[in-house]
Amino acid sequence: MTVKSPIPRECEQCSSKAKGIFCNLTSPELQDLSSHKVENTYKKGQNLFIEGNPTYGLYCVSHGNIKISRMGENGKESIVRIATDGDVIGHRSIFSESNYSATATAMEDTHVCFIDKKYIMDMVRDKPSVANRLIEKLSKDLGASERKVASFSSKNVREKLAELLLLLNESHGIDEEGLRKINLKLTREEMASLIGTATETLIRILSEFKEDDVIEQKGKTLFLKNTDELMAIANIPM
Amino acid sequence: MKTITLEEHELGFLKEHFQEQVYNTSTELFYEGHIPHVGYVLLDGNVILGKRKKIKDELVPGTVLGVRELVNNIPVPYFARIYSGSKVYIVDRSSIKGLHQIECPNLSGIINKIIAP
Repeated sequence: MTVKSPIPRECEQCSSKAKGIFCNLTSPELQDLSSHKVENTYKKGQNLFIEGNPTYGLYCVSHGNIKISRMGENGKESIVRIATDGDVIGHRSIFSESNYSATATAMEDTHVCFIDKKYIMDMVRDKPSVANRLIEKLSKDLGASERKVASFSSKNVREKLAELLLLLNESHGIDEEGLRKINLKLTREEMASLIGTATETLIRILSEFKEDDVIEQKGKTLFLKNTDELMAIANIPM
Repeated sequence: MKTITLEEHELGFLKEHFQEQVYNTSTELFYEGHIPHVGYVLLDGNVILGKRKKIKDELVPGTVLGVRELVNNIPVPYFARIYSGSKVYIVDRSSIKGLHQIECPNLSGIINKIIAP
């Protein structure tokens, strides 16, 4: 049996191009990249790579969401970040020449392009715009990690949850019915993992936010009703 | 899916150009219907091919997997799962292009054999 080959998506036409690391490449350079990459759609729950396994390239998220997680010594999953349209993953392990430091799992049907290590290394050497964008990404990742560490050590769970909702609003928020909808299906366990708390505690505080009219919940989807109040709770200056 | 197995002396030629990689955790090398990101040459350990959660084949050391599909952009109608402790050579697109430029009849013969449709 043969499986029909998907129509290759040209990098130049990718809806996430502007957010990615290849945004400043010329048309012929993008065509070369398009002919070299491998693209696939991952179903929810499928892994792109597993923590500890060999690194052989970089993944570029064209559309969808990828959960990046690490396994704790107690066997408990800890979510490091969520990669979305235009994000790259696996780059840190390429440059540190180590095995993958985390596991990447599709959270929904997610379209991803893969580029092998040698091609990326050649690009970084020959195309300063790609190197600059990668440095920018790495710096932002580092900044986010530092903020997370600071937040973990200085904020209580209520403050951390308010901060998480604001971050999700920034990355996945869309306007709907006059509210900000968090357009990302996260389980309560996943949300709890993102702020390092117990699921029960997260559910209790979400209920408090609902009672205070700060958020609204429809099924599993969260809507933000008062972002100013969330900023006040999170101790973020306006 | 057509797989080919390399002889010991053929693996010897590849040894000069590829580094042995060890999988520490069992995982899918590719999922059913995907184009492999890279190809693999199994050196030691276990890799199974399957379809709809059923095992169809178990690969032996020396088997080349996914290179032909990678080069020709063909989705594979099977999934491939590698088990922890298995050793492979990882054959990516850049490596294949690089090997084509090396003037060595034996190596060219092997490359043509593993990418032939």
